[in-house]
Amino acid sequence: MKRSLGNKKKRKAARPTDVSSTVERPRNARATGTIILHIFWGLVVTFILLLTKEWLEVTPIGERLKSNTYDLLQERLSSAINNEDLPVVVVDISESDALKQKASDGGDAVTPREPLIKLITAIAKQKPRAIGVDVDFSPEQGRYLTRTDPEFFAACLRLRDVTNVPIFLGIFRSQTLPPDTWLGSRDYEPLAASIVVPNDFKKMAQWMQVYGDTPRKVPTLSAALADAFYKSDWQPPRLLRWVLVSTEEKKLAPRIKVAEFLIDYSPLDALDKETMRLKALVKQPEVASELREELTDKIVLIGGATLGKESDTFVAPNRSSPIPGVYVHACAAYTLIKGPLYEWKPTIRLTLDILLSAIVFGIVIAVTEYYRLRTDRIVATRRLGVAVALSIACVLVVVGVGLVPRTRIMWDDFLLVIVVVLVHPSVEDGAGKLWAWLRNGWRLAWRKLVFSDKKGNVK
Amino acid sequence: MHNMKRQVIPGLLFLNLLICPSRTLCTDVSVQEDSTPPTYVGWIEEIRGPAYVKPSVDGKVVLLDPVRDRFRGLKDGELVRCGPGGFLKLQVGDTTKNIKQSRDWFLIRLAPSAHPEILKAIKSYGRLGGRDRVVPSAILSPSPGSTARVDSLVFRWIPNASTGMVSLSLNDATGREIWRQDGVDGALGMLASPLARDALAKYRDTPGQLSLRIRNSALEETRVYFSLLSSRDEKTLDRELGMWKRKGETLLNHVGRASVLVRYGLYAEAASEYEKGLTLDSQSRDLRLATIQAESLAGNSVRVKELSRLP
Repeated sequence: MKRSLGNKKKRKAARPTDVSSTVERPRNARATGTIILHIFWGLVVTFILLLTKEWLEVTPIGERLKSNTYDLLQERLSSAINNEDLPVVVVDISESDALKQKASDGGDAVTPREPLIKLITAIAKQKPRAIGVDVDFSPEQGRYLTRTDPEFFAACLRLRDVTNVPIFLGIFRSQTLPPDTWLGSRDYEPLAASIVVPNDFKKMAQWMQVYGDTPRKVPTLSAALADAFYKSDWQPPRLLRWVLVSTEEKKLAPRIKVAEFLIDYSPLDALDKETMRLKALVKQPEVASELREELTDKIVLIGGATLGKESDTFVAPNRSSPIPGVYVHACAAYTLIKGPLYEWKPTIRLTLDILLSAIVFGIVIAVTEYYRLRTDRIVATRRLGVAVALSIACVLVVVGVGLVPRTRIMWDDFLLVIVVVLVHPSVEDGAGKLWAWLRNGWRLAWRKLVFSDKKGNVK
Repeated sequence: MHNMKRQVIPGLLFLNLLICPSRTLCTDVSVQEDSTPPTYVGWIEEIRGPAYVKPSVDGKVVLLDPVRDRFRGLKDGELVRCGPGGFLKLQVGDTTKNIKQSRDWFLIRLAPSAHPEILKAIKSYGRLGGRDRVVPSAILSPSPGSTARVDSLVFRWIPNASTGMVSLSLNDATGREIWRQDGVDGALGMLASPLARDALAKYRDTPGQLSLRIRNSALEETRVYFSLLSSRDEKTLDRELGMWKRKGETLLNHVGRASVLVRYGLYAEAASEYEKGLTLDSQSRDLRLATIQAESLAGNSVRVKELSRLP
């Protein structure tokens, strides 16, 4: 289209000094220079917004937002759970008189071993996949808590060999010591599993490794139990596998390392219902055969599960009350069996943040350039930017929340990302105006400050 | 006192060898045949009545002399036993063991202990998610396994008028006594001692656990092991507590402070904060549960029972 000479002055006067303004742009702005300038501004604004997001994440508001988002994601997981297909059950010993802690010959009050082995035996006969006991059996300063502990551990080993049901006993105090001290002897080492629960309630340790004269790796109870079960072979799509992580190793101190995974708390309600059904078992282990359906082919966790009766309680997402530790182990075992939860790798998280912001201004630039040579009409860049941002936000909500049961990706800062994407067009617009003022407006402002309105005589 | 014992023991051993070649230690096969110096993991503090020692399961049994074998060194792998009416008080590592009459031999074994840095890492990483043993302790503050602040430490125990006068002592990680106060009325149930705090101040940044021992007139001893909050941790703790103080004396303030104190192992102080919160809202079930947990960690089983009985 031929441009008329008469419009040349108008175009010159109207030459833009800001790059993302709503005022009209002349059609003959140097294309390449403009695109580069747009991209530059887009990246600058993206950088500023991402820095703000990183800062916000560590503030109480940001942490609260992430926590609420995580609760929402857990809620989505809970809505998709199949209660009939629960591979884990909890047997609650809190209200059993026989299994109440009593003073032992060692001086401390412990869970009595004799009724406990009776309960374990009754359960093992129903052919569960594995049995875990959520009690700390660690010897104290090298001595067994009760004189009958070696007998109890030996009985568990014999039961395991006879029934082929793996049995695991909790340890905590001795978990960082050499394996032959976990349960007082190397013979009992295969029974030991750590019952540590991390302070970060979203995660559970899979194993803990201590480096020293005798490097040792102790599995946690949930990991040991899950290993005995046929696990789901679900995996994320091949394209996503290299950007997601399910287990993360980290160093707690120079000599100790843990591997952690996210816990799926969705089966909590179902676990609670099953625990109620198994109450009779604790009082009368003989009724185990009547509860065969609830026990066969399941992971059975024995522990104190009544709130108020046990001192180990933990916060769970989306729960108004804390939960006993045995349920944390049960949910962790469930997670490893059903399929792990994933997170974006840290570098991928940052890349996503940049990419999503770049899509916003990228589309605006592309559309602007497409129409620049095809029409006289001016592209409403800001309106377009807002529309693109809203569309991306909708997609993020669908992917981030709606598809969680399918993807199992726990993207707990996606709300913050949505905020960044939505404000991007406005911030870019504001930045452009600010730049325009800085380039030209400051001179005017300076003159207004320095000079009065009156004209003086020139001598 | 115990330091002196550590120096005296090897001396006594040498003296025994000179005076009486047929004495106990000369029958110790490991001393005669092994040219490397023996490693002692403890010693005998007290012998009453017939008591025996042997170097190994198949070793020769030797009768212990109550006078000459007092403070005899004990080696890893040795076995001891008491006959009818016999009694042995042993110190192995930082543990005291009382052996009474029995047919079974007691194996002397030094319990391995985790490196303090590893213990600290575990403590800050997570906690026990299961049932623990309940250590019946008459000592409420410092509670077993807790952390204490030097400047505000007050010794508390379950008061008992029939106990009479008691003596309190503090020992360091090696068992050496660093402070003692005798003639304390057992019925008081508490003692705040500036001298004890001064003695503890030197151990503030030393790794390892200390012990508080309360002994009554019948020589019955109750002991708890605890750690001290380091200077660095104390500054961080004060800063975190200060943030909650700015919010005023509200329920949230008490709960916030309590959660910080639990994280640092200051269970008695945390329980106190939760109790203050309960006075503001006695109907809150979650608050009551948290208080039960803190009191349990603080070893206050009496209060735990009281709270558990509430509807």
